[in-house]
Amino acid sequence: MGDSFFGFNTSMPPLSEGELQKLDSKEGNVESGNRSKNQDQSDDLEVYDFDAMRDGLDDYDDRALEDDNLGDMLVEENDDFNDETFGDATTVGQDFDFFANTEKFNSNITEEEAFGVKRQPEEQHGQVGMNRNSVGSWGATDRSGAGAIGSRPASQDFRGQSTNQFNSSPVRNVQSIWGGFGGNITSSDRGFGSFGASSGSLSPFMRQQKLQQAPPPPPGLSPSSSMGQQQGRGQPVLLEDIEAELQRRSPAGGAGGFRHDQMQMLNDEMDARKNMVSLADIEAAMRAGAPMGHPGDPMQHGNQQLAFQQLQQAYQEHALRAMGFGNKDPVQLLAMQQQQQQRELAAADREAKFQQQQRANQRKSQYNGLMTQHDKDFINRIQISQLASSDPYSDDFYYQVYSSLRQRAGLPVWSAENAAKNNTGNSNNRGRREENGMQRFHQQLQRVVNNAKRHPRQTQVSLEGALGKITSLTVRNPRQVLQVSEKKPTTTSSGSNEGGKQDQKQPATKHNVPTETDRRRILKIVENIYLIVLELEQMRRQGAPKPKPGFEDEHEEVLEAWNAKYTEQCEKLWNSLRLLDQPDGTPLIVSILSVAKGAKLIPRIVRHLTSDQNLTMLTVIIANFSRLFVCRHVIYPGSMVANAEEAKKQKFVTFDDVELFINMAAPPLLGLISEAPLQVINGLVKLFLEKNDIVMVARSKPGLAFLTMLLSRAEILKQGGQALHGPVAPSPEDLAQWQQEYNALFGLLQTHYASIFPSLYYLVPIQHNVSAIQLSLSVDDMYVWQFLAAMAVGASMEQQHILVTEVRERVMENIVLAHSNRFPAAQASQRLANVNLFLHALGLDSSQVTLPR
Amino acid sequence: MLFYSFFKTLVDQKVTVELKNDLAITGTLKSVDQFLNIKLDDIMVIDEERYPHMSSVKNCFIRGSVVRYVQLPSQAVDTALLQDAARREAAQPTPQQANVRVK
Repeated sequence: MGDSFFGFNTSMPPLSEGELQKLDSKEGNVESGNRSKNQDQSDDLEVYDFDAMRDGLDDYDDRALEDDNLGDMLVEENDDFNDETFGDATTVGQDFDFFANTEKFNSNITEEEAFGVKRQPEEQHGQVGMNRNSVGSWGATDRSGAGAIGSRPASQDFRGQSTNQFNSSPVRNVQSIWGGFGGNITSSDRGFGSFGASSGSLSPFMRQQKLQQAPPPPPGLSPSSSMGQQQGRGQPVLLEDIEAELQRRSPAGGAGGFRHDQMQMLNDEMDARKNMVSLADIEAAMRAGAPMGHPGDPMQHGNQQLAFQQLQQAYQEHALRAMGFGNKDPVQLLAMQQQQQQRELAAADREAKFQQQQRANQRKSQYNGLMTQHDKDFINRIQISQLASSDPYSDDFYYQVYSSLRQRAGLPVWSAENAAKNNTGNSNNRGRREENGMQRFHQQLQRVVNNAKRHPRQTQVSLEGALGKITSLTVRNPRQVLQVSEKKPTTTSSGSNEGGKQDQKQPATKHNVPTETDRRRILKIVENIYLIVLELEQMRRQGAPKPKPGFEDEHEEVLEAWNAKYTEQCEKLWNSLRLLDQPDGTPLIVSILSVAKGAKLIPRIVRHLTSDQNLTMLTVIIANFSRLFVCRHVIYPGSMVANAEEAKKQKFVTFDDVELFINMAAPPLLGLISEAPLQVINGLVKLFLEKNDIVMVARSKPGLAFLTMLLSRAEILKQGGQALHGPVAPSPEDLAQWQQEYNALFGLLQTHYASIFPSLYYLVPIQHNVSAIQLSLSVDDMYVWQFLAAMAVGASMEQQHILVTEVRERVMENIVLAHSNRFPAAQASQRLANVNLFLHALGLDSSQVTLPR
Repeated sequence: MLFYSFFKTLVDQKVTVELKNDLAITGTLKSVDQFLNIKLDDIMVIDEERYPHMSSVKNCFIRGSVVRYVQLPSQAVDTALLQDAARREAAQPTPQQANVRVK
């Protein structure tokens, strides 16, 4: 660098034959990979060996003394103006002395960067003081890079500086052994190869150690412990330090090493070298990995320990081997050998895996530390400020409600955000700190949100001279692909209302096939009701507004306003159901129930309406029960309608729809019934019988469910459960009334009891390998038996007799089937239980029936 | 923000993401952001033979715009709640002017 400033040819002279041979022979002796001298041939990573370098120094001097005819090439003219150019030697300033300055800089980097050893030479302390910060930041963020950088100047160091510096910092040279410090195991391989073999030092050292019974920490551990003492700062222990330590010890160990058989020595060395290379490899990788990643530290500590254990194992193996060779007993020898081989294999396996892991870790942690914590926080803050909004329920509805539902249910599925909130309960101290953090976080969030509110970002910008508007797209305002033009809602509803009215004027035919506009209209109405319900639920969820500090006076007004709003919404809901209208055709509620969405909506509505309103709804439903969608022939799973014609003529409903009704819409209504006094029950039953074809209703599951509920509630009231169920005991008029109704019901159903069982009359199985009988046997008819039991409870002797006669066949059939072994145990017992429901109500039991043989 | 909110509840579930380049990856959903970028942990590629270069990949970050489908466990989803959330989103007015208008 500096040389070319003066125009000299800085390329080194070509090596003559003799020099080349000398170099080669040196390499041959030392059994290593790339042994390069001051100028390396292949790559920019210089690999140096302490001893070889010393020899190399001499070579260099020798070469310089030989005649290379360079002297002849020197141009010794044009020196006339030297004095002018250079002036007085004493006044030479430092301004243009770039090389020396950068030299110091680099040397500082190499020291601090790679070693973490306190800088010893005082001369550097002063100058380094200024550079400390920048070097420090380098150190923090770019170790691997600096390592690579550091290597080259180190080599130049070596060339340019005197030997005392060379001696005083052997560590530095060791650093340059490893050159690029970014996880190049190959280079360290080379180093280790040379290292392990050069002095034959390790194995005798180990043996020495083992033969001394007291266990000094194996070399793997000791460098770290001594380094730890040296540094005293908790900086990661480095490869080079270990190397340095081992080298220092090797001369000491080497002297006493060659005590035993040369044979044994060689054997041991070979194995040791093999093992030691790999083990030392592990160490190297481990050490190299340690400064790479702070996050990786705990893992690497574990790995370090693992490596230590492995080292210890290896040493033990060597020791055993040594002792084994000493025995000379063939049998024992063989056994020992086998054991050792096995152990070696296992160890080799483990080592290989470990190496792989280490390599992977190194690779992964190569780029650790690219961002500082500050950078990460910065980006997090940006994202959070973009996402923050004043009302979490508006943007983040699903997540908020889902998590609160889960919390109430106590289920473990929980995201990390709320884990902190949960943990506040666990440990108070830690929780308090986290709470504070969360509070501060929330405050900051509030601040961000308020700022955003004060300066709302414009979604549309129109620049001067630009045609049209520019919309700024955000996450909440993404680019829409289609824009569907909104028809005014009034026009649609009025349009379909007319269509609907026309429909109603032709009731019979039109009812069978719901027109498209009909269905659409109903869906739209249901959606509107949903919106109202959602608003109501949101109000309930948020609760009444809390009094703001300083505004307590107005709090009452605020509260009143909230209540008013709530009742208004409820009114709106009620009106939308239009239960009080007197429609010609199907009432709205019935149409709503014909849609799955509507069936799911009913329980949510019931929650918000008053009991009176609910009763009204129930009444309307019961009055129109036969018109209900679910009161039709059921298509059971696995079957289909046999005849297409029949499908159009009759009305069919799928089993799933019926189930949905039973599970979703019916329970709240049935709950209403179970709370009602006898008067109401009477009225309902009367209505039921008046307005509906009971026989047809009784053939449907919902119909039977409702009837069962009515019957059982009446019975309970009759038997005087008024203490639990109602404040008022049923009056004798009510009781008489009830008896009347009951008899009427019974009479209507008479002779039809057998037909209420689920039938597959119109159906055929979908799959041909399943027979119709099988299908019919798989249908669950427990609800029928429940109804029969409810009837039987209130029946007089005569009525009971009639009941039994009519249903007898079915009962027998079930009992026989249950006792024959055609069914699995669960099914059989289920059938029996069903039958017993009925029989117990009569005061009988299935066991009393004598089975026909 | 509906889908962002939705995916937030699915964190730590096992999902399968199918990309627009037909690569399908199964993994544990680790995180999602407002652009629906997805981070998966401990992944396994479906049809491994076609993508040998993915055999050593354990975690991945998928840009949201290249996702075609995300297959989820059904019990992790509350469909009624999702319907409600969708209703709320639909009810919010959008200030957008789109390119294509559908009458």
